[in-house]
Amino acid sequence: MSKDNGPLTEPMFYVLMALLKGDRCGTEIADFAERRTGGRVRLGPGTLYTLLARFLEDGCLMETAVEGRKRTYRITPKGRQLFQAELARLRRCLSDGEEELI
Amino acid sequence: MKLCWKIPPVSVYDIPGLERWLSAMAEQGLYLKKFRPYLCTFRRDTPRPTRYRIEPHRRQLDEELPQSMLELYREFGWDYVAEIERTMLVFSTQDPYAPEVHTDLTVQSQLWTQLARRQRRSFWISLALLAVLLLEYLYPLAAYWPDLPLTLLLVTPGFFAGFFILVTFLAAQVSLFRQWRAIRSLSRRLEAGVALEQQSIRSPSGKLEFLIQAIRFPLVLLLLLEFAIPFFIPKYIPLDEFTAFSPLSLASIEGPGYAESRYMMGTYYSDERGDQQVDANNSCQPGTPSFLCWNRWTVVQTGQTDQNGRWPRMIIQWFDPVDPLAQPLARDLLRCARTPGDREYTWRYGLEEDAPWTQEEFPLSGGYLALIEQPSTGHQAVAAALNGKAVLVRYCGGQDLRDHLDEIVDMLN
Repeated sequence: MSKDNGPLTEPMFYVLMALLKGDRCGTEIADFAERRTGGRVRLGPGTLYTLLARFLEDGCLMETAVEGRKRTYRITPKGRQLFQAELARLRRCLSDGEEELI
Repeated sequence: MKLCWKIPPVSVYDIPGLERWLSAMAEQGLYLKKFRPYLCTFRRDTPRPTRYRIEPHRRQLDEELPQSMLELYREFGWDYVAEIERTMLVFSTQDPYAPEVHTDLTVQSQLWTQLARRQRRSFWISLALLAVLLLEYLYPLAAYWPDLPLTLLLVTPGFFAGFFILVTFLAAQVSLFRQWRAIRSLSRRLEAGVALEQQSIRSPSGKLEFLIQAIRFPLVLLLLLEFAIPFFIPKYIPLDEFTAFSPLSLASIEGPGYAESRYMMGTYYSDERGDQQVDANNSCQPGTPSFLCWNRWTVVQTGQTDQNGRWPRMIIQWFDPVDPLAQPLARDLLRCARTPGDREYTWRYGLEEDAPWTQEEFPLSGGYLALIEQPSTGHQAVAAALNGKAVLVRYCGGQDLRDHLDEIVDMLN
């Protein structure tokens, strides 16, 4: 988890990814993750709420609007940095694996 | 709206068991309305397949329900139903396509681990409070040890109810410990990758919690009643208005020349008598009723000090307890008369702590009758039990209570 500077879990990674190109509400984030991964990563409300709450607490996300029941979230520079750090880690993992295969 | 009530068949912290039970109730057309660990309220409606999910969420006393959480769950088709002991929230859905609440067991296990830690803290705090309560309760008893006047304590207001309330608190503490262990086990299994729905937890039945509440509630009421009654009964009643029994008269024991010592005090009459003055030195005082003894009286009679410096006085303590307590109570009263407390000034005055006492028992068919005496000071006490009643007469004066044993026994008829 981000607090421990450890690797992000897959659901965490896709929550941040969902917000890279614009603000989204909870169901839109879950839809994005499911569509993007072909149904491999599904986000239930319990999982999503916990992750959103932690990212908000850590300053990786911020709430931008509350329309009726819907709350919209935006990624912060800190969240973007966290996502990029995770991406770099994954790239290293990938290249390590590929180098070993050659 | 038709309502009905059910006792949960499993503990509050057998989450999978509770979820399954709520779904089974919904299949019978019973939908959870309010959750209590010992009695749940359901509303009746058309039976429909319903999924229930319980989420850990501890709420402080002044905290509102987490609206952002409820709204997000609603967006996904899950409606908030009820709260469980301010530590969990119940959600339900009738939409078969609504996604599962948790899709990441790691995240889910972290939530339950947090709750387990808080429950562990609550358990220790509650245990510390219980220890303080126990000490507070047991400390006065230690003062009497090993000659504990058990029957006297049993008829003391608050003792009986207080004891059983303590027992129910102890049982609740055990239940709290088992609940903490149940949550910890649940979070560990989630961590190991076992989904909540697949878990089967051995947990104490909800019937235990129902039983604890069923016992505790009337006892707490009783305890409150015992504490409230003294505010509604007069403190002193003049001897001539007293009708509960015919108390032995100090004037008749002392004979000619006896003169009452008077000390006028205001009373607490709530009727037309208002703040009538009563001679507190010669009056009757109703005792606070207790669960095992609803009727008890203390009659105090005090005379003026005579020419020989003798101060005649008599204190009668009369009890109408539950029948089997009468004789042991009389024996305990007599035993305790030798060592009066600091507040028993009238009886204690002139008593010599280390001076010997003599004891005589007298035959009384179906009852108990005995006298103790401190010959060096002239203090005498007679205890008697008959017809399910007990009396202790403590006397100090120029006469002998042996000559009035029949009158003492008459107070019990």
